[in-house]
Amino acid sequence: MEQSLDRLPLGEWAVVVQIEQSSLLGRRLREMGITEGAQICRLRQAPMGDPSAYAVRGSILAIRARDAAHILVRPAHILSGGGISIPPR
Amino acid sequence: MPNRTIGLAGNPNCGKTTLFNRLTGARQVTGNWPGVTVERKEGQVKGKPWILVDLPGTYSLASYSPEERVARDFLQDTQPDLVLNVVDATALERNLYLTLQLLEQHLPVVVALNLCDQLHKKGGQVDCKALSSRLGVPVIPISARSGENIGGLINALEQAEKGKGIATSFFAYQGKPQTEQARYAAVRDLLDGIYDSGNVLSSGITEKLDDILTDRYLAIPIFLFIMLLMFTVIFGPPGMYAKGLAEQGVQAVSRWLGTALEWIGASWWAKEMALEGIWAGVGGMLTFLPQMALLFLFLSLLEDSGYMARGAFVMDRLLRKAGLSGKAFIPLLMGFGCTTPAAMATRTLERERERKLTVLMLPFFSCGAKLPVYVLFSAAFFPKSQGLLIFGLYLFGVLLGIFWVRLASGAAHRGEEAPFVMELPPYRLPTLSGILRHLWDKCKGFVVKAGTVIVSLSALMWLMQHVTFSLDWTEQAGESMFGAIGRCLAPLFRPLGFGSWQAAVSLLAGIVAKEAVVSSMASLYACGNAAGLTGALQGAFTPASALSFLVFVLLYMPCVAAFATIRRELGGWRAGILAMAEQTAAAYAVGFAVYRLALLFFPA
Repeated sequence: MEQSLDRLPLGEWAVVVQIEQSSLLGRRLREMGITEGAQICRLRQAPMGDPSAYAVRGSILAIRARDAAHILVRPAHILSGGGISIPPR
Repeated sequence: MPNRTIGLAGNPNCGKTTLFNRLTGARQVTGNWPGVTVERKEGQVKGKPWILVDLPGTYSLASYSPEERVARDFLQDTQPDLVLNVVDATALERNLYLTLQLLEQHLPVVVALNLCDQLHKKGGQVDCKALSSRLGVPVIPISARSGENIGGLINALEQAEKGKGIATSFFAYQGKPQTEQARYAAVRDLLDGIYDSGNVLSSGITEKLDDILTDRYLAIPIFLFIMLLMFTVIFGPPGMYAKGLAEQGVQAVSRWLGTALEWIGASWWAKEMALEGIWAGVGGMLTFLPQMALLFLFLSLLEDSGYMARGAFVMDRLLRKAGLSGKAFIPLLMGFGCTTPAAMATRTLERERERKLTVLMLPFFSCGAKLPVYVLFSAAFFPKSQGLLIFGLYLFGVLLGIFWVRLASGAAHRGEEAPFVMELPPYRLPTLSGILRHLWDKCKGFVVKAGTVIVSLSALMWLMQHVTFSLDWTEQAGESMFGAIGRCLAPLFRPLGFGSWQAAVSLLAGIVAKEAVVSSMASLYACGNAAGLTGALQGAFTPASALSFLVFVLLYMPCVAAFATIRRELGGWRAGILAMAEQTAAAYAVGFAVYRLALLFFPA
């Protein structure tokens, strides 16, 4: 059950499956720690709806919805076979 | 022994600048905004023959942004004797990414593990010795903020300088990672079993503050409140009170200077030049120092606390409408202080297109040096609605800037939307020493400008005001060189309602420095004090022409220093001069429209 990062419910943890951005932005995202296999949480949304803040590898990054749409994630509760979010490492 | 070069590398917000200040004692701006250290800075480490070069904060050594290119070029071309890599223990995974890249370049690295206290606070820990042996380089835990274990770091650097304790052995068994993903996998291996990041969502305080400061309903009111608070303190009673004190001080010095010159028996013209030329100009500008200091105080508080990034987060959606990203919020806000550093701050923007658009927009954000003109004119003509008028001018500039950039982005600067990946650093309590250092730097810059540009300009203007083109002495300012130049230019401004040569000359002086508009008016209308100048202006301007003059000052080309920076950021003389010409033309057109409109309300 994969979905794009921008659709991840607030407060939910997920694992990055794939990044469809091969351009500069894709590389930038990877350098900042959003690589395949990384755990990521959608923390909050800016008041005007966009961008959103994500927790990844110990830091908080602001990413716009249209960029996050290129990041495919698998919500953690599906990984762990249901229930609520897995506790972070 | 020749000096050794040590490169200081690290992610933005890892405490690099704080450590630089602590090691060198050099005065440098510290901030909590990703990428505030744009230019290369260096300083000698206290008591050591080491030159520390502060590299821009970068996440990687790829070369997308100018910062990364600066860091990469320095490391590759200069071959520093050592690289001191500052890493933030609270985001160790992300920070070690850069460390691996440094090691891949076969650079001799010493790692300073900063913010360990913060890591412990959120329940995490790290085994420094194990990390050091796995990496193959010294890893020294420090606190740049409190100065803890700086001695240990110096020792490690001394050892490393002698070639001890350095080996880039990590890749001996790992192999060089080729992709970002492989590098992060290597970091995972490296930290396996020796690092606990604690609560992933950083320190609880940052979470709680963000709940409020980026709240759906509260964020924008809070943002506007902070902006309004800034304006009220700087331009309202507190700022005005401080300004009053400064005025008294300037007058006291003026009296003292007069007595002193009398006593040493200076000739009448030297006395007049010193008092009515130089001191009138310098003193007039010094009275605005308190307000400038307050402005810089607010800006550095916002930067150092981490709120700037939240402002960018909250405002991104809005700025995107102008074709910019939330990151442009910082340079634009700095533009209210001074256009020159603001234009330099645009280098934190990754895409050239966004950088150029922001630079084009900057001059519309009224700089601090224009404030004296607004204060003077609004006090003289609209004393009851002074605050409202000044706020209106600032707002008008911003709105026109957005319109201007939309025009430009529609025409010459077509391209894709700028990407926006920005770190929201943890909130940190600004340190008093950091704020004071920042404030001192800015105020010193302001006063040095007064000392050089304004002194020579005031003296020159005083001379040109008393000497004719045939080099005769004249007491009639209208017959002087300035009068002649001003009279040539004045007809140009007649359609805008202020066709006097004094107005034309002061606008010319404003191109040298915006501070000079008021000071040159003071000397051209030959009034030593503020009350006299107000009276002279009330005779020379009408409310309608005062308004158009204000709008023209708001919009016409910035000072030479700002022009020089803008020219560089736009990439050449042609683009720079074109931007200035367009801007002055816009100022003329808008000034004309405002004058005609104002005549309906305030008939001459």
